[in-house]
Amino acid sequence: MEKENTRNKLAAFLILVMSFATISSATTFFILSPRASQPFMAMGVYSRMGLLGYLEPATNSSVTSGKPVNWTLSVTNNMGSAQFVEIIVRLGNSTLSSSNSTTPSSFPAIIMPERFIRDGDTFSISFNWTLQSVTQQQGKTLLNLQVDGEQVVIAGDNFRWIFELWTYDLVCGCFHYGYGPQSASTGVWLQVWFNPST
Amino acid sequence: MNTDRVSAQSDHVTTARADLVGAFQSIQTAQRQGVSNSDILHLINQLNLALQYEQNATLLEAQNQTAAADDDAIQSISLSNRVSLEAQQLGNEAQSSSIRRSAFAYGLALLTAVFAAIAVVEAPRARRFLAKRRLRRARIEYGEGKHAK
Repeated sequence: MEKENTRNKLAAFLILVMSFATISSATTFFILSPRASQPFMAMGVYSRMGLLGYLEPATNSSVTSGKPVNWTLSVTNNMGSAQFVEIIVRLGNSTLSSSNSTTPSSFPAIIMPERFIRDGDTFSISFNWTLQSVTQQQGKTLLNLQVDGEQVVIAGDNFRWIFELWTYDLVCGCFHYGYGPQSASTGVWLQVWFNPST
Repeated sequence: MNTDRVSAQSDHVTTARADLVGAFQSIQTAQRQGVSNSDILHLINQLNLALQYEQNATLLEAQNQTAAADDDAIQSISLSNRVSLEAQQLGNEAQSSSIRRSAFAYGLALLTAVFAAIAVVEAPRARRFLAKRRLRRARIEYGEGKHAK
């Protein structure tokens, strides 16, 4: 009788140990697991007056020739790990389309600064340019600009700066447009329209 | 002879780029192994400095200033290799400390489970024991009360 009692007690003890071990292990796993978060990267273009990114032509962004324009580009990394980023700056006119959420623009790149950013950090770089001259040629506007010490010439109308965020992919060993895996990346871009005036 | 020199120098610039990517990969691995974001800050600053040297080297090489380009590329390589090594060390330390922490936490969880099971199984005996003690005390108090009167 006592033997059976002990056996029952042992069986109950083992069942209880198993149940409590399951509960406490699950709790420990939950405590030790990193919190889930939505990874993202963001980009901003600022002047002394504030944020500049526009998706539609701005009517009041006149740039006078000879006056230096000083902007700041900032990139925020919230991907959960360090990132190697490249900002591609393009100067556009009405001939080609802008970037979108999946495809970068095909205007030629003017500058391509690169930087490593830690998770949760924001880095800023200055972007200085000067409109040196505005001339009319065969019904088109010809702009002569200086961008970070380099000479740039563009003709046409509907001028705008396009800023694209590219990130380094260790799998392909190359930069790709946007952030996230190359096969399903999210494009990040901004554009700032300007009206050149003499 | 001249061709060999130019080729060796452009090799340094190529190596500088490859080492930068290698160091970046080491940092990402270290983060996966559990290195904290604050420990990464110093490595990222060093890697950005290495990137600046590499960009200068590329610029100087394009201007045919091969000796200066070579110097900057070597500086970049040295910095990248140091970052890579430090990231690997930090990663290994973080991984072993993470394993220790997990083992301790799960060990504690199992111990808690065993004690909880003992508490439940032995609860009737404990209750009986407490009831007996209370009864014994009550008798003594009753006797004392009687004597006091």
